[in-house]
Amino acid sequence: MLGTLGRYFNLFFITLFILVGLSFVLAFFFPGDPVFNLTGMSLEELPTSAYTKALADERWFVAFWYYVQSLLDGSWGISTITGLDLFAEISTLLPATIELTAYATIVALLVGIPLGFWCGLKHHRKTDYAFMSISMLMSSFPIFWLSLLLILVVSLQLGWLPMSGRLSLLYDIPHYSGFILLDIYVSDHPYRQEALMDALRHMILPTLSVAFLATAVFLRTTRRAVVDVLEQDYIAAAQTRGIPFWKIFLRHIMRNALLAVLPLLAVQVSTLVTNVMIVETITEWPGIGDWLIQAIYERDYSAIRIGMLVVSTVVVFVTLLIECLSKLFDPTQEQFS
Amino acid sequence: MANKLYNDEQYPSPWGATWREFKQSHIALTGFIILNVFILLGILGPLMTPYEPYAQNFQSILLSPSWENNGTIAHVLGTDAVGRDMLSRILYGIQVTFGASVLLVLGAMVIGVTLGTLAGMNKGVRSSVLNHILDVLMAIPTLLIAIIIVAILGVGLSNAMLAIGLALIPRFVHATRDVVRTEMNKNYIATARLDGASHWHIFYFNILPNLIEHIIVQATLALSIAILDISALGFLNLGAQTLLPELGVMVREGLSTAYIAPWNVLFPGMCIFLLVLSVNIVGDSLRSAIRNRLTH
Repeated sequence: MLGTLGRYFNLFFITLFILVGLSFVLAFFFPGDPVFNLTGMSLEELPTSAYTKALADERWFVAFWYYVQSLLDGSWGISTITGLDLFAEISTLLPATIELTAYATIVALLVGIPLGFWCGLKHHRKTDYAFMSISMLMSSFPIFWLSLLLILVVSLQLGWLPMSGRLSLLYDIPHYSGFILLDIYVSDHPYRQEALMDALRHMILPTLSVAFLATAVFLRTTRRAVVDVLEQDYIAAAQTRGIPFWKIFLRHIMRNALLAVLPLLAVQVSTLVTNVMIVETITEWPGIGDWLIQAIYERDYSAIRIGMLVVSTVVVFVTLLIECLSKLFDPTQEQFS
Repeated sequence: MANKLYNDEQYPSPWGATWREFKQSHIALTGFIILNVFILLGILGPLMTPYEPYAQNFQSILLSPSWENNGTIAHVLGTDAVGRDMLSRILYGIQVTFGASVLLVLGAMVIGVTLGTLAGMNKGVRSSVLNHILDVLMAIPTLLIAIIIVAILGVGLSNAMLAIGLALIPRFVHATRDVVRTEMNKNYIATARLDGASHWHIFYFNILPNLIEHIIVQATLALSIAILDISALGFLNLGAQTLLPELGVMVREGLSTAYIAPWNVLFPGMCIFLLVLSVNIVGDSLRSAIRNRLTH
């Protein structure tokens, strides 16, 4: 177990190092001055430090060393367009994205996995075919179109839900953690209850758009895993011993199927994040995806560099975490290659 | 079926057997037909459009589809905010979106299968380094890769294709490597090797026939991802540019008039949806047809 943990720890750090290196190298590939792309400032504006000196002398390897240090210190440079500190900006944006991703994933897991079990147990019957066809339809939706349709129908036509943003401007909630529900909960706003309801109403549309596609994938993945487990010999052996079905289900089917589902979820993380980023731009959710896409419209290379580093670090971290967990739960899996 | 086996005039080839399983399902056949219609439209579409896709007609701006009261039969699916015919633009859009997706999947497939075969047939450091890099590349969201490529090279359909192709290569490498590795451990490869077959010979005559249907299944998966991503990048203004009739771009353009002319958002999106759906149905049915063939 320690070996597995150590290997994944190692892998994460190597990957992180590659990503940091990549973000440094990208500053040279982006149009414009590398120093400007790295810090958001020109050489003259930079405060005098060893880092500035290394940049000025073009000793890039030394500069890279100081770059890593500055990343660890939290001085990530400033945006070339707005001049805002990137570390402060990302620490307000990232929680919003994580929040949306988390809620969508929870909804998708809560709907997709039980339905997947249901379909797997009833496989090759009418319910199974119905749900498989529905999930096929669901997974074919282009995410941006789905999100637009929901906004057009639910917000504009029916007027049930707000169409964009995260919270009505009426409520001035102080920034505490960046997670809106938590922030409202700890704030002492006089209309806390109403603010909470408003935040939830804003959350429904983006969460549903992302969860819609993820549910379909989770459903199919779980169903496949259950069907595969049902074909195993130990299920037949348990049945011949006369063990009641619910016991077989709890002891053998559920455990083994969930083990097979876990590594497949790791593959879905990057798709999920792409979908969240697209939905953020459509619903104007103030997350890192919306911000990154704005940054590319405005050619804000300093922001793109750091945004790319942060998003990919989070995604790689979550992916490796899920893979590591599934390896810890089930050490018989094929060795990480 | 089993008792007829010895009386059969001829045994079906693996492909024949797969087709036999495939056509059992009505849904699979429907999807297959729809996909073929899309392929035909993609190739022949520009020959049958009633209007030029760029032709603006200020006499007929934002016309409704023909089945509504104020629509005309001259513009079957209505017109957009500058009077361009929706049907013509969609027919061209299928060619652009679908064609670009097919091309990029083919490119990613060739590179991915080559790398995957190298990784599967060579053991040791080389394949391990390759695997690490690929796993990292696979974990990074496509949109992020696209943003980086667009930041370096600028916007455009070909840059979007490059970005999505890069993101798809690892899938092919993974699939190929796994199949090649399991096949390499089997006895018939050892036999071929004892007979003195070269690496190339083993790959071409022994592994490739077993590999090809896995690759095709993988390619259908990749194709649906490619269509979704190309149109998403077009929609976000990071891929194809405004003048090109790409389906995602058309959705974005329709957005400005979405409230008075919802069909400008509805039809291009519906077209992407049907395209992806037919690819998904064919891919999924192909996978279960192959699985059934192998278990029977």
